Amino acid sequence: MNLTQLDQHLLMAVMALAPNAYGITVMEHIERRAGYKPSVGAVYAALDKLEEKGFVSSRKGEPSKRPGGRRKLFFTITAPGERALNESLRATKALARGLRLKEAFRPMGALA
Amino acid sequence: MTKYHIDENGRTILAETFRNHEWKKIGEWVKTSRGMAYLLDEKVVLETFKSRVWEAYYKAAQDGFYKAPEDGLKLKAHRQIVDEAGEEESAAPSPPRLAEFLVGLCAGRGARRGTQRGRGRALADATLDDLQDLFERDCEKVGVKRARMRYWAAALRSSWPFLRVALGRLMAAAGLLKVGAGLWKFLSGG
Repeated sequence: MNLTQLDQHLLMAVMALAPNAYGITVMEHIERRAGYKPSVGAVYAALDKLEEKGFVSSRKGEPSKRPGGRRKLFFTITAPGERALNESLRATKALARGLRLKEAFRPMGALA
Repeated sequence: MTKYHIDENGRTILAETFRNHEWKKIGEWVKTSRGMAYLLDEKVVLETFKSRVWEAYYKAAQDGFYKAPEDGLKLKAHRQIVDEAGEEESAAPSPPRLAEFLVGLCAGRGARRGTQRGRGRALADATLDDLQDLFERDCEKVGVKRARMRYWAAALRSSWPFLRVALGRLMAAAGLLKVGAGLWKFLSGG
């Protein structure tokens, strides 16, 4: 059950933003928290792939008020998605354990 | 069409903003050397350059609310700005059609081929709607011309991930064909 880094970030963003997770909100959430900005297309293409694997589900929103009335797609994480994310994060944590990184992330006050 | 109106006490002219449909002050009832007059606020007009508030400003000016600034030069400058805006922005700004077409095409082709019908269309619609939201934000922030340039950049960046999926599928199909041809050659003893 391999998840790329973008997949991990998307699943976490979708979880955090539920039930209002769609392209722009997900993109901006990742930009705020992870410091990079995926394109709208990258977000939707990756979410589409995750939906194919059964890790997220989507529903169509109301048509917009503009001429043409396009609909947004809102995403929510599924139970298998949460499991896959959990496993993936655990694997990352296990790999990182014991490494002496130059800028180690420690909880506040841990050095005292 | 954007609207404008004069508030209840008759002192302020308000225009509807392009994105949030809020009412924004564009002019005021002031005392001039020639008596009281509505003077349109040049600063607001310059700030909202090429956004839809322009239309309201233009309409207000056509209705004669710009009259009676003290010096003729200022009036001329107002008139010029209004005319330029009127020529360029008579309709609501729209993103570049070709860029929209490109994104629609790529998103439609790059969607997974699942059991859901119209999946490509749904993805294309969602992507285009989000890009339009960003375009409208940019129109307010940086003006229509730069917003269109940004839209092109976003459209190209957004097309590539879908295109990659479509190309991957094509390569897989080509690979299968090659394997099939090899197998056929082997079985037919060629």
